[in-house]
Amino acid sequence: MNLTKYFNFNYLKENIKKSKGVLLLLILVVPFFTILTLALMYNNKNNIELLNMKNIIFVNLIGMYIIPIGLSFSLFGYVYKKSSVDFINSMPINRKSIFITNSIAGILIITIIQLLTMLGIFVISMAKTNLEIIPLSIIDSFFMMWIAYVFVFFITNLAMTLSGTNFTQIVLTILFVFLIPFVTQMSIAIFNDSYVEERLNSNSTYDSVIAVNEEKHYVLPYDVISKGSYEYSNITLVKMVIIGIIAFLLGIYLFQKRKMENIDESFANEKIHLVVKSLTIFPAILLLNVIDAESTFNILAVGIIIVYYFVYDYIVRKKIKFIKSIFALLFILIISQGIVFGMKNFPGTNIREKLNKENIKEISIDYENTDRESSNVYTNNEEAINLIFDSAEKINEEWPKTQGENISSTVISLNGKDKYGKIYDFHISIMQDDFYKLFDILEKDEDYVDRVKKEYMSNGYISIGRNNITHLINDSEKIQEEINKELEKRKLIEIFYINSENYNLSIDKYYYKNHKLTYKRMPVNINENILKEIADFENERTSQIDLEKLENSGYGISYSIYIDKDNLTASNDLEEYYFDYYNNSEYYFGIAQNDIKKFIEENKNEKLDSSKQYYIICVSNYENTYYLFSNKTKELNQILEKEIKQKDEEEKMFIN
Amino acid sequence: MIKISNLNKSYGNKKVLENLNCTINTNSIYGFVGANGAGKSTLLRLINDVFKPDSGNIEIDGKTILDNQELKQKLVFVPDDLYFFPNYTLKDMANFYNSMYKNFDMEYLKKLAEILKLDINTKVQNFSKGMKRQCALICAISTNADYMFFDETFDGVDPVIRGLLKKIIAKQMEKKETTIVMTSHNLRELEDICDNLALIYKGGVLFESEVNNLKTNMFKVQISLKEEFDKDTFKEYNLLNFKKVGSVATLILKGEKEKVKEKLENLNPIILDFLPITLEEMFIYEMEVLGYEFNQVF
Repeated sequence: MNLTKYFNFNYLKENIKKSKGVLLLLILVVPFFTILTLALMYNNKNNIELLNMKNIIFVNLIGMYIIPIGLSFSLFGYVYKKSSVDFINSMPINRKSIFITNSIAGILIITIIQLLTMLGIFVISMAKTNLEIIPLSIIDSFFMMWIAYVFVFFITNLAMTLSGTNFTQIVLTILFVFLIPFVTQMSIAIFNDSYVEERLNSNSTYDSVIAVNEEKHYVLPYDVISKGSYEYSNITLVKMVIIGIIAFLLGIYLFQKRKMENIDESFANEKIHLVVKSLTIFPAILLLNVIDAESTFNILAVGIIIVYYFVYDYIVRKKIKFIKSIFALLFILIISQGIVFGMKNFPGTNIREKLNKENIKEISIDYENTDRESSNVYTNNEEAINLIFDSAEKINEEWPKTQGENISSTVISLNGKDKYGKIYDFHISIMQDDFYKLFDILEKDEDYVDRVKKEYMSNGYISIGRNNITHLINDSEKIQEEINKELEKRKLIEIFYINSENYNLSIDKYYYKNHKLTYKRMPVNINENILKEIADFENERTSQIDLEKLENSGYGISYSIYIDKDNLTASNDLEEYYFDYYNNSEYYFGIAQNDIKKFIEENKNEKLDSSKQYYIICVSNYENTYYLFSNKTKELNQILEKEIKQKDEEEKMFIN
Repeated sequence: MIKISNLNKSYGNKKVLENLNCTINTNSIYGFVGANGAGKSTLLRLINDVFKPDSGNIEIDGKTILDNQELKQKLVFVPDDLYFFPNYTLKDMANFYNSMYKNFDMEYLKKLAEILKLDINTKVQNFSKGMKRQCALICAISTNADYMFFDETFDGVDPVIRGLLKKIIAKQMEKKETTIVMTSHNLRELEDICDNLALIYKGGVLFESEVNNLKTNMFKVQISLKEEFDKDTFKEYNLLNFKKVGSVATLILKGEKEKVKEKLENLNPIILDFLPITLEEMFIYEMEVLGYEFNQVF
């Protein structure tokens, strides 16, 4: 098999070499700015933080709209230029090989960009001791970005085979990526006559609205803009892979068939030019129908469309055929408006879908805190489903009679699955009594309770927060045991709806699931086991630092002590005592600095006895904070007294 | 051998080549001449698979050229619009050709560059127009391809270098069996190098001939006879053109030179001179026979 029919290494090498300057810029821009962002972020010296890719991916996201297009233009551009078309097409390399080789070159460069960025993040995370990473989250995010970049790259390559000027190539790329998702989204809006919001009962006067959010996933470049955030699912990934492969294969076919004489020209055919131009204004017409704005705005918008129509002609064709264009525009406006009219009035459209207990076959209760991951544990408990919807109906009936007086209700968040498996995410108001009844019903459902509790048992980073100190511990068995003990004790309602005031320690379990960093919260009261675990973790971390080096790092260093006056187990309510010493929450050392330093050096391998009283020594510089838990309270008290005494003497001298 | 049959090509509604037929034998230099826009460059682009024909067939050594990578190893094309990668030196360009052509001879390129006084480490974009063409030509020649296509071969090249390049081309043909196809809108550029010449007019080959054949079979004769004479006096001859000023006539005749001479001497002429004839004149008279004005064609 002659592989050069499909791929030519020499050509790849030369093609990269000829654009090395531009390609180097394209390769370095994303890694550089991502690493810079990371280096500047996560400088909270008090806490160890877990890297959330969402916070640093934005450079990569912006790059997604620029880099692949830049790559296409660098690698393919000259193939379509009048000056080089003879040169490259007469070379002993067939068109299929040119297309595939250039595509591979682009994929290689995209891979380098993502690998470099990923590598940079790993290196920075190693250098920054207060930053923890979940490698899977980084690998997953970069894989997704890699797919997205390759997807845009393939789409641009396809657009370049179809059109002859950079402007129309970009227009086509935008149409390929955005048109279908946009039109689909607008169509849903037109069909449903409102954005995805349905009412339980169209006659409802009480605002027991079920805000239904049926999650739609298209392709990442569209989703990022339409949702304004970096979220993606497996559907996004599959769609981009499939469309990308189609674009690639179609690109090969069309490139082989392409008439190379049609270069430096938007489209060979006037009709295609008209179709493309019309497609660029069709979304605007849909949008105008959806936003239902005032007439002055609509007139202004139509005016803008007309101006755009002629500007487009001028840019693309370098001439304006005024009369012809006006007729064509009128035709397009009538056709577009006709389509919208048809959509609005087509029998069966404009449905206000009634979402009721008959539709919902399964529910999962969401947590009150929206930051946390929705529970994926579903139940088809009919009694619970009926209770929720009957209770909501009851409110709807009662509300007009009393205008809400004497109605005690609460809002719960639910995910509901219909019989087709379609998931709705909604909020619903139910009577307060029914709220407790609901959990009583679910509590009896052993299988459901078991599955909910199992959600907390998975591996993950445990973040233990107490006041302003957070300890991030990776996968601690002992703390997991504590969580499990808590789970045993707690009722279902106490897992979903937590009264934080009852606990002095929050335990969040972070993990990467469904392509995002999420967590589950389980507040507890501190006990010996947890304290021991935190102390061991922090002391181990502190034992590795070099105080001299830290002092000379240029940022300066400060030492302080947190004091727990009483035995930990004597009272769980540690907060009052924890920071209550000489009316200061913490004591910063100046004079006795050498003593505290010496103490740390001598005791940094101490194993805390968590049943006894302990102090926490805190060492911090600009970037990091380290803690040493110690039972040697007498020695530490002596150092504290020395510090206070000397300070007092200094103050006296100053006054005198 | 290159065999072109019934070749058609249009750009939109404009027909550029129409039923073009032509055969180019191996190991020869074939020249296509014609006015600007006649279709010479398009023909070369079609032969080199830059453009695809609307219909018709191009066979090189019995194989079709369409997307035929192996066959394209045997072809090299220097277009009218030269292209060099930005910031590339002649050496870089040669390396590119080297990576593309299996038989590229880097040492030979360096030698040719030396002959033409081209610095291989200078960026090609800094060369003059004529030097750029020399760069392209020597890169192409160094590929040792079997078929070389040069569009507007000597455009921008000064007469001295033109002569040198012609020698280099001739040397290449001595070195190995090579077929060279050249185009020019200027007949004089090709007359002393081509074995065959074809005139392209309105997308077809209007006239094609071996140059030697033309040169040995066509004469320009100045003649004066004792008696009165006119065009009819020479009706037995293959007369292409007759012009008489006073008692002296200038004839353009076709045929075997010795026989024609003998026949003319039998007329006991007072003056009988065989004058040199340029290729351009030969074309003019051939065109006239075909019913075309030379100015229409060029």
